[in-house]
Amino acid sequence: MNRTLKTVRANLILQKKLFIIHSILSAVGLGMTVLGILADISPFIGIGCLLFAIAYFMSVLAVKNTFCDMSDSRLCDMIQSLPMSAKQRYVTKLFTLLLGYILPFCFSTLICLIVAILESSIGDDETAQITASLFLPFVLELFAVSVAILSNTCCGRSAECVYFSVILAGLFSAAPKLFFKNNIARPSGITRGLKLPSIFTCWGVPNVFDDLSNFDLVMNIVVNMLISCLVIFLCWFLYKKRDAKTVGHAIAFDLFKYIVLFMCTAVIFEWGAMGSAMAAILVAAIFYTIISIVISRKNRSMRGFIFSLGFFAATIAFLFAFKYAGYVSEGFGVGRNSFIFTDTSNIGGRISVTLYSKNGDYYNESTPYYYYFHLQDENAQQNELNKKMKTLCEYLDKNHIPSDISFFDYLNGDDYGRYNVSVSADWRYNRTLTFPADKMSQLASFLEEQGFSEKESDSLLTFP
Amino acid sequence: MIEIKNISLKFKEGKNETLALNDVSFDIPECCSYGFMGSNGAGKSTLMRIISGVYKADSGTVFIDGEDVFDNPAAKSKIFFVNDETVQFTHYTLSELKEYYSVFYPTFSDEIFLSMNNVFKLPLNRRLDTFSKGMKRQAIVIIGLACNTKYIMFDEAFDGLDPSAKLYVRKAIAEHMSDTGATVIISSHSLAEINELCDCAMFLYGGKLLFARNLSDNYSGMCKIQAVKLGEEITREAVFAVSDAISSFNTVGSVTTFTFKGTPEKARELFAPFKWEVFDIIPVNLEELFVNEMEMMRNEQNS
Repeated sequence: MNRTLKTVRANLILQKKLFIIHSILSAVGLGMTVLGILADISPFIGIGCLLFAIAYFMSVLAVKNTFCDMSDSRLCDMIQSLPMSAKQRYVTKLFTLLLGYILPFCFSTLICLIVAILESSIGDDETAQITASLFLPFVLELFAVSVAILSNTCCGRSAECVYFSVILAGLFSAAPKLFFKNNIARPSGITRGLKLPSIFTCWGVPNVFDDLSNFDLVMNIVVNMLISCLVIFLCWFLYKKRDAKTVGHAIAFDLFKYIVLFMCTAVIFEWGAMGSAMAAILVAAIFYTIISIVISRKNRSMRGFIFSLGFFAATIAFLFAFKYAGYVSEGFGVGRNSFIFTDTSNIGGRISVTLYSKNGDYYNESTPYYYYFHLQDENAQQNELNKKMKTLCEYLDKNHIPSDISFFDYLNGDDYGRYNVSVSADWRYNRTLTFPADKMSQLASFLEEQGFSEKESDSLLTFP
Repeated sequence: MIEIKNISLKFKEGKNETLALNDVSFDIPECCSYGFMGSNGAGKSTLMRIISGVYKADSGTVFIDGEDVFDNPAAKSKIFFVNDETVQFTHYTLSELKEYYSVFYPTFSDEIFLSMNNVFKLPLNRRLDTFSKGMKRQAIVIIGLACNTKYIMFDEAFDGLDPSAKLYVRKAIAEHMSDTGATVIISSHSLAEINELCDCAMFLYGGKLLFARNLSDNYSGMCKIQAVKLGEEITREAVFAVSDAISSFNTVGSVTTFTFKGTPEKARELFAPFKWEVFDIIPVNLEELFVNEMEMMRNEQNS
């Protein structure tokens, strides 16, 4: 332990400038954010966030410096020839990061929290909210450090260690939600109320801000921290397996290279596919080519280029297949029978034409027709209402068309067209279904039979 | 003793593979100075990294006093490795460097450190990046010797030193060896340095061990021949027709010199048909051995 602490001290002496600047930035950033929140001064919050962003980037540099034996052959000789096992070296590095970069963050958080509580007359709920909010920078620091450790254990050159840390942070933050939104939520027709469980989404930069109810926020913070710790623990196995011979190579593990290239291509493609599929492929190809060239540098060969091209084509083919599966299965079956009602005493919905087709070409018109239907009967038994809603939902599920637009229109970001029926009893949930024109009059009759009444329609829809 | 057994190592980058060491085996005895020789890229530094536990060999093992060195702090604490760079230490002052290494090496001797620094007179509280290249090298030599480990390895130890500093460092290493009984392993391109400092030496070529032997032994595998045939110039072709184990062939008038890979007896027997007036067999020095081995390897590769 004594040796570990002495080594940590020596490591921090080497990084003293970075350590001091990082500590000042994080403390001032946190202080300004808290002051901004308490005194309601927005520029302070903005400046505080900017300082945090710089502090996070410095954490990435700090991890690179701490794991310098992974990317600098001269330091590798010096550090790895010392009488320490790989485990001792890894633990020493973690202690360096903990004492030098994570604990000062904790300390600043604690001070700000005490000041916030003493200087304001906030209630218990707000205290919980502020406590949780103050922990966000700490959670993000841990996230940045864990991603940077992953990059440093898998990359063998300084440049890759740094820019992979930044790229991976972006990919891990964006990928789960983007995939879920494009391939599950959108084809299922559920526009509101369907969420990926927190466990998949909370690890990343913006995701901890998603649920701001106290409980969800605390859960997100805890889960985020646990995942970061798990990643750091798993990195130990990579560090142990890592061979000093790969120091100086862009990527130490081939598998890691392909995972990053795949993720990068997939995220850019998914992001671009919200606009145009062809543009998405083009942008993904540009990014893929740049990263491939930077990684391979002097080792470029025709064989490597062909292999790289093949990998890109396979990735795009896989993404198309995945999207097609999501398209035909209405979000991998998530949309089917998924009407959820928590308050059946006030059921409403609407039938609208938001996108209209002429000769197969879709164009957007801003909802020219509406038909609102409503079910409100305070005297009715709850069981009866439930039964009616169940009947309605079964009818809707049975009669809607899974996909009224072609796969390529869907790929290009077009929403579902024709007659859209949305049903909702709960503002947190909404699902939109597409109905064929010839079934709309049947639907109107059905609604009438079931006792649903028309309500405040702007213009009555004339069913064909 | 350091036992190096069947060490092979390949460097891979993408689809490219380079065989850095090919089945290298030899022992480094205790209390000796051992020279690592070889041309650039022969594998000397790679072998040193394996011995110090930085690289794990693809096959084979290195034992230090019977213990496998890789990922073994106990075995690693017996050896100190100074690589051929000095930039890694530049953030430290000499005092901080002393503090740093004394954490890892319980055998670290303040006494040796001070006595060595009295010789070199380096500033203790100035950062190493303000030192000249030679001063940095001297600082690392001081630290290496002060760690007082049983085995010390210097990769290109005298690189960047001026002649007087070279002399000081050489003297310091020799005195340290005689005082502590440490084993010093030195890699160098300068055969004179190896010849002067080392008891034993090994020679690597293209990752392959050509020889590893005690330098005080006669180079029994090779002999230098100086022969005179009056009134007749012996051609290269004529000598090579007798044996192809010949290198460094040179003829001036009636005097012919060449190196023969084999015993003196075998040389006398093979070259007797030339009926030399004078046929002297003289011992080869380390430099000739080095050049001859290189030449033989090239000939072998060309053929």
